[in-house]
Amino acid sequence: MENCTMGGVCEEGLFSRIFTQQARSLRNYLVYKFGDSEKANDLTQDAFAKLWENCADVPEEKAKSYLYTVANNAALNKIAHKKVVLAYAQNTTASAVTTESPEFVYEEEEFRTRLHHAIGNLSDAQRTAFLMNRIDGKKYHEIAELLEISVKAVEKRISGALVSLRREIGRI
Amino acid sequence: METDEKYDLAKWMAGEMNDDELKAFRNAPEFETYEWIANASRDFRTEAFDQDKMLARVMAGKPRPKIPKVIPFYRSNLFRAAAVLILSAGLFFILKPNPMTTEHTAFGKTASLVLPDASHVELNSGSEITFDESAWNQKRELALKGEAYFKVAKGKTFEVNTDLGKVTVVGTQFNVKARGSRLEVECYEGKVNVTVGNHKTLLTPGTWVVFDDGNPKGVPVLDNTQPAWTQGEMQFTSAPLEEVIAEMERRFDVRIELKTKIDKTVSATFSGTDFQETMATICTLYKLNATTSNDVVILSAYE
Repeated sequence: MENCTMGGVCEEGLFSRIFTQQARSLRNYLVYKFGDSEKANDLTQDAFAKLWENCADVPEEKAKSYLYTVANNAALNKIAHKKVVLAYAQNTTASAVTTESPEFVYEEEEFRTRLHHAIGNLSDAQRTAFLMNRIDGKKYHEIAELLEISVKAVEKRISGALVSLRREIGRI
Repeated sequence: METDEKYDLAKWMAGEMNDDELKAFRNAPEFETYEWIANASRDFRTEAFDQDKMLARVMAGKPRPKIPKVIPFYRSNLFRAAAVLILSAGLFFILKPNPMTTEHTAFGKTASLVLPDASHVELNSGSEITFDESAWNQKRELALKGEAYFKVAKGKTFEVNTDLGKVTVVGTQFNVKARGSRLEVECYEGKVNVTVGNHKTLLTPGTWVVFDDGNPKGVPVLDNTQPAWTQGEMQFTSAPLEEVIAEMERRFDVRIELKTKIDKTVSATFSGTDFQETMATICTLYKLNATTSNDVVILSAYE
């Protein structure tokens, strides 16, 4: 019945597909918001468990916002915020930098530490929107859809985040 | 004046600044810092987590079955009969100049009615009966559009008129379905006379007849003791897909659009209460794809 996805998301292939597409970004969003990977994992699992339980009643196109709503509601008041902990990716930009002088590398490290710290000091709203865009590569309209806010509001959060970050890390 | 208010930073980071805006921003003293932030923040990562394990745990749970949309009429027979009686009494007074009584069921609903002589009528979804209540004791006669199951009290001749033909009985149980160009009459008890044009058919218990465009299609044997639809099912015998879809629209109160032409007919019994299940069976049977758009279910051929 792969070809018949009417109305619900109970079909296992469809459900796994939604999971694969959404689990990481939902979980990352919760990490950005609460700073706690363990809690974020639990909330993500609970949200998908709830979607699975109610799969017959949730149409495919509503599944995404359903997950975010469930996770947000479950998290209300229950979670003490921690400071966000992120890791650096050893990617191409980083390795290109290593060809620079040791002083430059050191300075770069110093700034990255400050940036990390500054991200942790952003408001939840600014940080989630900013990191969803930067780390998960989500477009503003995608963020707006998931958080159920306007694109204008997302842009405001992004601009606000950039200003706060620049002020806190100082001039390069 | 701060740079922050002068430039649309969000627009810049989305790469949506035009050349002039970008040129001006590049000359701002803060530009380099912003550029560095935008690039460096892309290199952060969250801790890895085991997705497969999580999915396995999630799907170890059991989905809750869908709450049926259509509640079979027999669950609240008494309430509905009472409601309909009160309603028909009200209608009778409101529509005094017109002595005809009309009972109508919307899509997705069925109704159970009691006629003045205590005969019972079960009205299927999207159906209508009209009769003269004051003259009922002289002549038991009603007009039917759609489908209804009758349990007629003993007495004089009972007549059901449809656009497609006339059904006459004396004390019996029978089902009449007049949809499109097709008239189906099923006899469950007593004797039923079906008149279509010059053609007359006498049905005995356990038999039924189909007229398509006025042409009889033989008298097959019934394999149930009550119409399937009164048991929460939808039964079809050599029915075209269009007819199945039309019945689904009435039973589930949905709109379905068939985007492909299919000549296969179907003889099957589907659930009349579980929309998902019926839709899935039909999709598989006919190799169709179902998508929803603006509350309309669109069925198209599956590649």
